[in-house]
Amino acid sequence: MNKLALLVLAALLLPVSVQAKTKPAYEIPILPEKEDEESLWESASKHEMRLRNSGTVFRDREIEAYLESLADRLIGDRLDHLGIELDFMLVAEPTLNGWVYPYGTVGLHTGLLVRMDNEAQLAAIVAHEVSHFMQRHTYREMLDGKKQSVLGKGLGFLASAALARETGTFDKGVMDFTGELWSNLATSGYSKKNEYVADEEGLDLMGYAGLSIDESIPAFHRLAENEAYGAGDPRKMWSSHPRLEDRISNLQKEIKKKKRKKGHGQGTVPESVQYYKAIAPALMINANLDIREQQYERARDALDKYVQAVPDSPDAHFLRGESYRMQSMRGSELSEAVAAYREALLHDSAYADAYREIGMAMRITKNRGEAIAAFEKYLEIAPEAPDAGIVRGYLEGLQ
Amino acid sequence: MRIARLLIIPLVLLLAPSVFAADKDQAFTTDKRDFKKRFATIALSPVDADPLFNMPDSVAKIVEEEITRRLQKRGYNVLPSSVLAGIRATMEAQVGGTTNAETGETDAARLQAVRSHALRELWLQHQFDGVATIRISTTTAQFAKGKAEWDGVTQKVESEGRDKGYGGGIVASSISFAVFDEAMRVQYVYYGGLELLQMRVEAQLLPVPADQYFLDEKRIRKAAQIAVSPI
Repeated sequence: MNKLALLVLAALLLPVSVQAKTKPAYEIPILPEKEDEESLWESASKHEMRLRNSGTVFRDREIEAYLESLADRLIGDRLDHLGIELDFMLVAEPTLNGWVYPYGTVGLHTGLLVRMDNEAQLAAIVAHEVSHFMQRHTYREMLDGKKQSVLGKGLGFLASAALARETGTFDKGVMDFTGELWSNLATSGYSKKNEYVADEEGLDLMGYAGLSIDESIPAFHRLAENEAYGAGDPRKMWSSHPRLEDRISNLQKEIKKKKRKKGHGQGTVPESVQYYKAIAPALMINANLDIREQQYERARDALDKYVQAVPDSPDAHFLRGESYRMQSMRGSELSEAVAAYREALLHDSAYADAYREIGMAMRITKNRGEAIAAFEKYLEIAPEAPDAGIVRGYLEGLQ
Repeated sequence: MRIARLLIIPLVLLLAPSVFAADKDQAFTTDKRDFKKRFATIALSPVDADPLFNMPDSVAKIVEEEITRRLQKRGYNVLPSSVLAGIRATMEAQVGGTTNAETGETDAARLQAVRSHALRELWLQHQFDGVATIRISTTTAQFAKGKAEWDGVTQKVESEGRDKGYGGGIVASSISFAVFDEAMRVQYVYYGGLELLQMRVEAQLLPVPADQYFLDEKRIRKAAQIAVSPI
């Protein structure tokens, strides 16, 4: 065994003695329990504030209230004695990510909300994060980190470097990211043991809330979809790492056990459309983000869900058309785009941009008459639009 | 000895492509063979540069010339940037200019309208398969022992005074060539190193004066050639 492997092994063995001393939140009378835990909360709070001031946090009181009520159902009265209410922070980001601050604020990317197909799937992710909170995993990881430093600075970094090398993503970005996860209590990575604990306890919370624990499997499979958002992205590593597959396989075994021993097999899968209604603004925001990321099919998936929740939205149909048009200006994509623009006009006959886009498409397909009619309607509704002069130019060319 | 050197040079030439092969393959986000089939006609956008360069038109011309030559040699149809520039000029006039006459500031909405419509019009008129952007921008080169190396080139680090053994990062410029499909998804991107923008004076790195940029035509041509070399 080489030196690096020995160091990594030492780093992995150290946490055991520390973890035994840290009780879960529901077994202690007060949180934070000790001074160093309070400092951890302060430091996490600064991170949260930075994120909130970054302009990416998306506030929607209705979605937040929905998520809070879901968390209440998952936790029951387990934390009532602490007087802590879990709350949520939504980040407008198309990737699938979720985390929890040590004081119980759960961060969720809109991409994660949107890719789930029903409340039970979202509950699987939220229950996992809530479990990290209840088990005080961030604090435990911090204590483990302190213990680690006895062996010398950089040990955690070496461990994470070895992990990165294993995955074939041994570049500086990933090194920084994983090093940070290990030593700075970053928000989206815990030790393998703690992840498994949260996965398993998450199933219990779902079961207590009467939700189908089977839905945790498709929910975790979805996390692998982060791959589509860029090969150089360190987030890819966490979602595509074999570790996720191991976790899913462990979850499958646990589901069988929980059904057998705890009777968690009777949970329900609430109707998808109710879920889409509850998160509707996030669906629209994320569809725009996905279009910007050129993830057109994902954008359409979100828009389809949005239309199930809000069937008469002209914006959703128009955006659907844009997703096709941006994907390709020919063939079936162009036909689909035109159909979606026409659908938008059915819900709002004064939707100027839909007329312009129909005009543009008709110009491509050489339907002169329809192009003229659509452009004229556009100019009638939006004569002062920034591109009105250009559209007049098209009209002159056509007439 | 002379014979030995003659033997060594071809050997180096044979080895060199294998050294760079991995990087060049990474230039494509799609299969290289597939790229050639899919992008038979490439429309060029006008050469763009960070404002700090104050790039003369003659430099843009040289860069586009080199890139066009290479692409045509490889069998691609190339639509010169003048076509897109012409469409943009017409549309700018149609919207009444992209500068606010009262404030002198750029009218972002009009500018966006011109950019978006111009590209669509270019496609409608010429049905290109891909559109390419060519950009001169700054980067960081690594240097050691008085020599900097980045994006396929090397350059001596001009140094005044002592401390010539020092190494580290130094600001340089590169030419990027990127090809996008009609959905504006990047399909190819590669960089050719142009020139250093800093020099060492004693223990400090100081900027090379802007009037010293773009003086070496050979470097400009070479940077452009490297940027399209994987194609």
